Amino acid sequence: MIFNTYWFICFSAVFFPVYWLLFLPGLRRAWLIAGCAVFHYHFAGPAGVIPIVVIGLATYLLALTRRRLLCAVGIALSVAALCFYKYALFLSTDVLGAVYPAGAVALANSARAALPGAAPLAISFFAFEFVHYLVEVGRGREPIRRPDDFVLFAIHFPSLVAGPIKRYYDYLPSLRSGLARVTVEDVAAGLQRIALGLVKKIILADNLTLALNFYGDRYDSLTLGQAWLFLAALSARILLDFSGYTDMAIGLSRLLGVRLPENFNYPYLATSLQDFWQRWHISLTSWIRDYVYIPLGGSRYGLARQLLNAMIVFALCGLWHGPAWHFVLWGLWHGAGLVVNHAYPRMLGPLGRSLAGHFARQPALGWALTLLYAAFGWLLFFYEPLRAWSMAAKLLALH
Amino acid sequence: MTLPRQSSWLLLAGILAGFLGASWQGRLASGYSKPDGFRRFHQRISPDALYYPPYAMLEALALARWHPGQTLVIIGGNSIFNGVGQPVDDLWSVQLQELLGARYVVVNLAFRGAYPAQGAALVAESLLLRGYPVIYVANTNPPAATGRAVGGASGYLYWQALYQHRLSGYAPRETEIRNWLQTLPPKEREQQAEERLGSWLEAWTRHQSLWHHIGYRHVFTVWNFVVAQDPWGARDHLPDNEPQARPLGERFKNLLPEEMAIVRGYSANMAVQDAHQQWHLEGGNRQRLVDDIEKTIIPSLRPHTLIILNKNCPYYLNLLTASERARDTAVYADSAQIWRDHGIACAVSGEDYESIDYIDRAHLSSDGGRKVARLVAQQIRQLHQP
Amino acid sequence: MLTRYLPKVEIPVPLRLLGRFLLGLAIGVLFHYMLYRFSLPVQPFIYVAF
Repeated sequence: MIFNTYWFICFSAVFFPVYWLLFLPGLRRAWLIAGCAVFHYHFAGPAGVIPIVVIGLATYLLALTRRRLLCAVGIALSVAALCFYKYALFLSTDVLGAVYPAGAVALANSARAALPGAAPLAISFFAFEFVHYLVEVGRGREPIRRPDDFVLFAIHFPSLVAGPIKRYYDYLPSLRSGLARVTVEDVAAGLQRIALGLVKKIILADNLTLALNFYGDRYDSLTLGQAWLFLAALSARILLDFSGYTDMAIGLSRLLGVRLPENFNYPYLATSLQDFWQRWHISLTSWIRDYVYIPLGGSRYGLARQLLNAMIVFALCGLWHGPAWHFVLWGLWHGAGLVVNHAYPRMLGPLGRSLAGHFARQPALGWALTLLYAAFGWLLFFYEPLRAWSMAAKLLALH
Repeated sequence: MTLPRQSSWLLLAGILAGFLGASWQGRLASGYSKPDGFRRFHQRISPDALYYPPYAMLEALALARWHPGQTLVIIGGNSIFNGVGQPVDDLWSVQLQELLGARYVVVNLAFRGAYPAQGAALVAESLLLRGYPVIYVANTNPPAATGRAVGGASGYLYWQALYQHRLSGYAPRETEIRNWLQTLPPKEREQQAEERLGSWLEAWTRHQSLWHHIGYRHVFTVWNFVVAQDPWGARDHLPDNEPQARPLGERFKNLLPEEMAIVRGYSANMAVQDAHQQWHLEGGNRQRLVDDIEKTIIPSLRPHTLIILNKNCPYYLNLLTASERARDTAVYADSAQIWRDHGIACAVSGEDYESIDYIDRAHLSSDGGRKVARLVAQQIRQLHQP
Repeated sequence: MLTRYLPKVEIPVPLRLLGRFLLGLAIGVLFHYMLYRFSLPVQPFIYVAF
């Protein structure tokens, strides 16, 4: 839904021409705020808007103080909101339930009573952008003074729903430029990018989804070749779906004259897992690197700590995708892959160095292994662990 | 002007020209696009297989074989009148055409899961408004009543017909739809709003007409499990493949308790017994049917309408107790009388049918199709004597 | 990548402009097609759920 709705078509047909015709930046700004607010309210409803307004207001005011402690309070508020709306049930039933079942039931019941029917739209993305903002202000960057600037940063509608996760210091100059002038080149490039996104999402990914849903239910009766085709389609589908969405978000923003960060850079051409994560969901990966991995110590405290940090970071990255163990396992799968990828040249001595040299000379080998590793990972991403294992076993002819 | 700027303007001009050109082609397609040798919307050209015939196609189909002096017999209703259970050569509406002769043109526009107030009823209404001689025939059953013009898999046809100005502004229907939309949960209301907006756009851009035409004639662009063997093939390559009924001994075995619950449900909560132990349609249900008819079937169409109330297969009815059977019969008889009280011809089909006339609880076999064709032909002759 | 070699190929300006116009035509038809696709049961974006 969202961009592929008639409502959004009609919204765009009114919103964009007026935006282009309003030459005064002040008027454009007001129109953009109105458009973003209408968009957010339409798709999130009051139950989705109110928590974001509250957290956003707190974030804005706390950042204005520029005090580290108060910024930390704001960060805690965003993280707490994310945990509450998205993970309360998971934490109570799946985590606490494993160690203290009686308490878990009571907690889960309280959570169910307190939680709305669904988490506020895009709460994960809001939380990450607010945390980024507060961390940067806490580190000494200038906060956003104008409340309307902050509102636009928070609910810029093209990226509101699923990113790319913006950095406010890149966004604001681009916003000002867009409010001052939108060129015909911007509009042409934006429409071209939207078209690319639509092809990826609607023509390719949606057809793959329909077929995957059908053959997924019949996976056990597929031949080995068909099962591998299924895995290829599964891998293609998530890239096309998400990068198609991102293309539309970037294209729509470009229609406003505002540039958003890129999120993908041909990830399936990566020649190592490290390379893959520099090309896949770039705005999330760089966020995690800057605000989790480096604060945890990154690579500064020796190999063992670095590897542990990688595992923690990727488990959290998996959990960010949803409150379920299979997402955590998907994150750990990638974390383990990266650990091996990083450690084997040193851990295996001459053999490791020889292997690494071999991979360096034969990038096609690294590419194939990376692609396979990422593809098997998607089984964990989409299916429950046991089901994913059984599907993988079939692919490896282990049945 | 710089080259990048020139190039951008040309791209924008191309986008506008492409979109307007496609809309123009869509407008043309809405006049001519229709399935070849049309007998019915079989499964591969129905919403089951992601083929949602645009409203304009229904009118084009209705008028395709019509010549001045002939009466159009527009058939609506659900899968029973669509002919599920009858191979295309044995289709009941084809037999109806043979029985009625050349003075009538029978067009089967029934959809699986549709109601008498939907799809075909709107075509009949529109053509009647434009002065065509029309008889509208649809099937239903007592609990299903008239249904509502919107909602379900073929409800989109109402919005399309409305925004293409094909319908009379019938205030009770519009009010009822408005009230119904208010009662929907937010997700469904949003879905209806989308259907409505899309239909409004269709009146301008004719995207449904063009791309359904391309999907039928050239290439189908959406994967679907119904046609998983040839998902991209043009739908005109995919014939009506409704199978022959299974041998009688193999029918009616599946889901017997569930089917019996449905059969009982046709009358269980709809009737009350009077002091003489006679069953009658209960007051609330009586009023509901009255309201349904008054709100959904426009008055000018009523004298041209024939409703057939389909009874369930005797295999199941015979498993009911005597009292339940009497209740069932009373509900059908009372419902039929209410339709008639509103100036709408109504008959009950299936009272003298046998199990062999059905392929399952509700759908008619070729044998049953022949019987219902005879009943409808006879009713039409009574209703309309040109 | 193909795009690496494209700038090296000298395409006459009128041809390049014609190409842009044709690309625009294709995009316009695509947008029209999307109106049709939006009416079909829509597959939600995977990441919107996150």
